[in-house]
Amino acid sequence: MTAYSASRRLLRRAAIGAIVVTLFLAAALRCDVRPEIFRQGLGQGPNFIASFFPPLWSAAGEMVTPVLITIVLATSATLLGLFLSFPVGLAAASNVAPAWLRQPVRVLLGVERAVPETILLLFFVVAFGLGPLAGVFSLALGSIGMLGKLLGDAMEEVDPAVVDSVRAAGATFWQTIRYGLLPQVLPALAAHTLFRFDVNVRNSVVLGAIGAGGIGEEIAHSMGMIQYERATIAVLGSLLVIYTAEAVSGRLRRRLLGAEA
Amino acid sequence: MLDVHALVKTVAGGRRVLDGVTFSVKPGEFIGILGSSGAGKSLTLRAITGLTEIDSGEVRFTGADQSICRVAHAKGAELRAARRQIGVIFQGLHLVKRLSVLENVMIGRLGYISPLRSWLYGFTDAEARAAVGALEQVELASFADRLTATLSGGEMQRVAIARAIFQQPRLYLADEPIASLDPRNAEGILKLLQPLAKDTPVIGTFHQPDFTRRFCTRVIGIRAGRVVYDGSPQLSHHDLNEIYGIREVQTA
Amino acid sequence: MLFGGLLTLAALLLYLQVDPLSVIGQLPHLLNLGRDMFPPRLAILWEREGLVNSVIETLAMAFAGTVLGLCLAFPAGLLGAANTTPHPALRAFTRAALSLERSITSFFFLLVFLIAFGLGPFAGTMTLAVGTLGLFGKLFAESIERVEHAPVEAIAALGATSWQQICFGALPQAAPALIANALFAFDVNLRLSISLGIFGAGGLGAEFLLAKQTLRYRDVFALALITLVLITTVERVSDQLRKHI
Repeated sequence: MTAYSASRRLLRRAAIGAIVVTLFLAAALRCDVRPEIFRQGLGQGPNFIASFFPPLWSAAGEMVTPVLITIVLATSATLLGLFLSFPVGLAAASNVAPAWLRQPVRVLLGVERAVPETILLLFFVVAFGLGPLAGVFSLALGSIGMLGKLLGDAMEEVDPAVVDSVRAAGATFWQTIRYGLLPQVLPALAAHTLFRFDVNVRNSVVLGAIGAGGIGEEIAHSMGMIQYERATIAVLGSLLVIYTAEAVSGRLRRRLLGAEA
Repeated sequence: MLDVHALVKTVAGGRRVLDGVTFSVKPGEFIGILGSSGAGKSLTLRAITGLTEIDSGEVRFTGADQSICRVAHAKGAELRAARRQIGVIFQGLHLVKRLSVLENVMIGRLGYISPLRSWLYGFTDAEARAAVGALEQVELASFADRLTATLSGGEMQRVAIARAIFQQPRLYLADEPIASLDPRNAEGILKLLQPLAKDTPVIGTFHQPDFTRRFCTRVIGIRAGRVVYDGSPQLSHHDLNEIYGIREVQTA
Repeated sequence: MLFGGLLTLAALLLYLQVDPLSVIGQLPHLLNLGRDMFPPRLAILWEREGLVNSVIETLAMAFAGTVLGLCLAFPAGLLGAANTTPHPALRAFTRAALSLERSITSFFFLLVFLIAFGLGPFAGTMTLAVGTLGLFGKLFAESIERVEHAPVEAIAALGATSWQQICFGALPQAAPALIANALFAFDVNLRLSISLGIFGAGGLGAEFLLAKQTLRYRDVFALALITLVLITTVERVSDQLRKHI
């Protein structure tokens, strides 16, 4: 009458569990997850954690500039990414660009999204040397990967009637895009740009640690010099930046989407 | 069997949504509770299972071992023991739509299986066969392995009844079991409930006096949180006006 | 608006002590880099001993970190969801702790773990686990809060314990979202594990750093291609799994 079987169900659960556990154990072994490392690490845990306190409050002043650099880095990368994503987005939209242009652009966008920003940074550091410029470029490239795809997708979903009516009024190709396409795409683009800003702030902290400068560099530097109390201050600085960016971006996005609804 | 005494519940703003509801249930009864929306019908049923807390009053439920549980004041294991013996037939949307029909029926006896068993494999093959039996009673045995989400409203309602039957309770509560159904489906549901009431009392809330007249053994009318009628299901016009609060037109 | 934006950008770049005009002068460097990197030396796949091992290490780190993190994120999700938490105060505490944890940048955790547990993938695994807990604890809680309340209440009315209400009422409803999130977590962690490698967690990231430092740019390009293939493959597989479920 029914396919229900308790033993088969138990068996299936056991099988899935066994596969996951086996894979996990194999992976954990490969990653040197050994009890003695764990014990050793935890053994010095309390002392180690204590060495981060009290925070070196006197270093707070030194963190102002790095924090600003991180914010500026993220902002300029978001802006640059936004500007460049316009032509890229147009080239990726099937109702704007011809196939010979669109397909390679789409593939490139996919590549950009797949490669982590840290790897991009390694490339740009080779080209431009250590410093914020390499950071701006890698974050901007990552932003294009996301915003360009979004723009391309959004343009393909644009109401053709609106575009046609603008074109029928005698508009040129660029005027059609400016007055027919963009106004329909802008709200979604603005929301995603804000989201991307949030992501960029987080990433700029990480990139800072591998050569882009800013608060991430301060964290890495303090840790490397075994100045843990100073590192605590730097981490607090990065917390402040990330929290603020998340709050601001979230609030603006909600307002934007609220206005749309 | 079940004694409901002077239930009072006040909501924010001071309005009494239950204002002294009192009645008792004897074996063999099929009680239909009538009343307009918001009169306190569903709330009374919820108070009987302890799903809604009341301000004062008493619910005495006599269990299989003749022990009396004061449901409204019970907690933890004692409350669960009483709830195991009260089969609530909710509206169809109370089923877990992502589980199969059979699993939804078997959930009826969840109160009886150990936590360890519910972790490891759930129900036994014997329980599955018994659950198919309950589905046969509601003529849905062939639906056992279907995903519940694919069923129609009337079918889900019958699955809910099968779950309650499978639970083997000492009392059935049915909260608006035919509210969203067309007349033919509604009649089918009542024809399922009526024979159940011969062994185990059924209390249902309804909106249709013509159905309660045909199927119930007794009607309780609730208006503004009070019992305004308790007696034969053969209601007069005057009784109905009393329950639904329609002022009788004075003829000069 | 476009003009204003460009001006802002120029001003910001100047603050970073990057002269926008000199950037244009530096663009040829990119071409030089392109020449140095081309063609990618894919031969490292078989010529460089231990590269396959590094790929496996990255995958292992991502998998172990994901499983470990999800094992922590699942109870955190239950504690952080309004409908399954034992106490509202516990929910608020869990939410706040997860949010704080998310805001602490992952590489700081890595640095801490590297000091505590030594260089290598173990510290990376722990970092990924912590990151997974922060992000997916929150996502799990949100998925669990989105389940319909009525079916869970019906199960409560049967005399089931709270744990049974969760197992049979809430979780079956949330399962598709939870599984999708779990697959997504592996995706996220694979990318992150490559990044963490640059900081000393080993795997592909370490290969990148080494190749760059020894100026083997054609190897760097080849590694980027390997990364790309790895990430896209995992994405495809997880898409298929998601559809299957």
